[in-house]
Amino acid sequence: MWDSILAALPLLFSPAVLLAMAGGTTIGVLIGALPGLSATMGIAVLIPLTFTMQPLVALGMMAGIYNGAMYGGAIPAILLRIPGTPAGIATVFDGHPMAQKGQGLEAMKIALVSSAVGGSISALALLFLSPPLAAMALKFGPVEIFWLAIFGLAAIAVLLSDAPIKGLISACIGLVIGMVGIDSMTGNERFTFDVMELMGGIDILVLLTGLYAIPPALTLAQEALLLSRSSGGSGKRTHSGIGWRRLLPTWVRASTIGVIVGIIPGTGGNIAAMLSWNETRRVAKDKSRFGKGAPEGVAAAECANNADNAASLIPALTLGIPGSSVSAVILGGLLVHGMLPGPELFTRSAPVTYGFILAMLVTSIMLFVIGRLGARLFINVMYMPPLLLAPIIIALTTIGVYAINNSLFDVWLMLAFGVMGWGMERLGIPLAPAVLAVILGPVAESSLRRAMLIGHHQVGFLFSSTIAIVMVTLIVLTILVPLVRRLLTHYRGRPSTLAMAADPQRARRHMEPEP
Amino acid sequence: MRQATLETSVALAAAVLSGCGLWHALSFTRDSAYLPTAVMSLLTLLLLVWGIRSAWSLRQAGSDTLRFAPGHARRFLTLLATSVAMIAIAPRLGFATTFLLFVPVSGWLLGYRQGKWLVTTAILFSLLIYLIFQIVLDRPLPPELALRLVTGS
Repeated sequence: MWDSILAALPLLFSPAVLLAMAGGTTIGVLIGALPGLSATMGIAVLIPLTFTMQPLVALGMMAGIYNGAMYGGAIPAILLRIPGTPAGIATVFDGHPMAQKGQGLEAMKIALVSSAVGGSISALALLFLSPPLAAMALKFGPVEIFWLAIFGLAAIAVLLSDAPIKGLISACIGLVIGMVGIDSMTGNERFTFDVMELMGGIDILVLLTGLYAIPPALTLAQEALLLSRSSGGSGKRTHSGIGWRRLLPTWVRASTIGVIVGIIPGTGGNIAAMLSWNETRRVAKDKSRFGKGAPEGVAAAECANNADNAASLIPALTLGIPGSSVSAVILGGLLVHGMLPGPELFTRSAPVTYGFILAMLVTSIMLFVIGRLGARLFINVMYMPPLLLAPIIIALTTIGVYAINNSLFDVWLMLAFGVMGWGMERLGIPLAPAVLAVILGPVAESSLRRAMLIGHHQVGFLFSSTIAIVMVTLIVLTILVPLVRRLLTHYRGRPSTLAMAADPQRARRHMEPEP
Repeated sequence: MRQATLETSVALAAAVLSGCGLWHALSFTRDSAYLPTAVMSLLTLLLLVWGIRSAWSLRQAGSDTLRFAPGHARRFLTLLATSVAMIAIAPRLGFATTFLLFVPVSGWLLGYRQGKWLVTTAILFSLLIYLIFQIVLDRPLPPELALRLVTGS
């Protein structure tokens, strides 16, 4: 591992990669600061641009966007009470009351430092936990890989949606999209309808861009969210002085929660932030301060949602199972650059892989510098007119997708996926299971076929190893636990923290003090 | 219209489509048909369950009425229509030239009225796109009409 890290360092600190990381972090904060846009969308739009870049330049930029956007979401959450990204929901609880008291800049400073701390700890977790997990994954045969893919799909489909049935529908749609093209095992066409352009299958980038970049643009134009400069809290500034040392225990707790939540597929920064905020309030001596502008509340939420970032890449890089939509998009970015997720990343592509992991660490530190220097710019970006921004996003995605294969068909397909994604969001069908199914479906199918061949078509062979039985148990638990939780919530009449993380309005109703 | 009505309609229409997909998947050769048949069957079943559940919730008096703010549908359709037009003409005019028209026209039609910003943004954005894709990334894109008009070539 250390040899690979040493080999990665000269690549990482080359001028092009440093510039890409700084540019990515800045773009990430700008995207996060714009309500309605997310890290997933930012990376999806920019992947086609990185097509001709060196892999580490492209991955460094993606790492910067990811870390930057998570912090960027805190800016409108604190100043306008509008979370810029879903992970910024918990930041609203204490961040906005601080802004109302005239402590908006202090809240932003706390959010920035907490984000940098959380992001750095998460990157270290990725650096030290990934190699052993990847080594373990080397022991996986087709049976284990099949169950692992099914586990990833079940976890995302069931946990990401309020209604598991909608998550499963999304996963099935993704599986169908993943099957389009020529079957690599038999050479038969599936769902191509004699369309020449569909023979090679649907490019994952076309799907990612369509599902994650077009719907936010359509929503921006539709809702035309105009932010007034007078809505940024109290104009009167007060300085309370930040007790950084007092925040240390909060950072330790929040980072731990963020890393653990990040590793679990189907969760995300919003859940990490919510759990962390709740836990910090629970252990506090004076609980009544929370929701009224407690600095620890901002630190807990921001540190946890950034600690989730790199950790969520652990299952994606080592096992090829993306645990969230943003890690699925990054996985797409790796595939574009010919890097196959899984144990091979840590052997064949080790310098680039370790370079990427270190880029997550470096961009977390860069975030602190860029956040301090560009604070005024980032605040002004929130007020960019959405009616002008929406056509720009559409234009950027159009040329980006066209440039991949010089295919206009891909652009039309992207637009069709975009409209489909917008419709799915309106109907409460999560997008992430569909994307994950496109990636995991072919993995599951080819592993199942190989397993059946090895096992002489005996179904019992699929349950022949301990790992397989553990996986099957996990799948059953993943599907049953939300049902049990739902029943408990029904009887108790009080939503769980996870349920509240999935529903921001519900969260606000239950956790914010009455104005 | 209520959300449940919309969900019932979408679920049932999608179930019909999925049923057609299942029928199509059954025509694949044996080894290629296992997964498509299983997935399409599951999808059809899930869509039917969703449709029935939504239809059932219609029986209860609910507050899930869909409310469209004025201008929402108009702006959505405007951006969609201008995007379709942009994709159709971009290969003929060149991408940067098309964006020179698309960004201000879409912005104006969507309701943005700061003419100076519309024009400045469109020029800067098109220039940036040309620089990134033609000069830096050197992608083989359709020739730019604006460039031909300016250079006279």
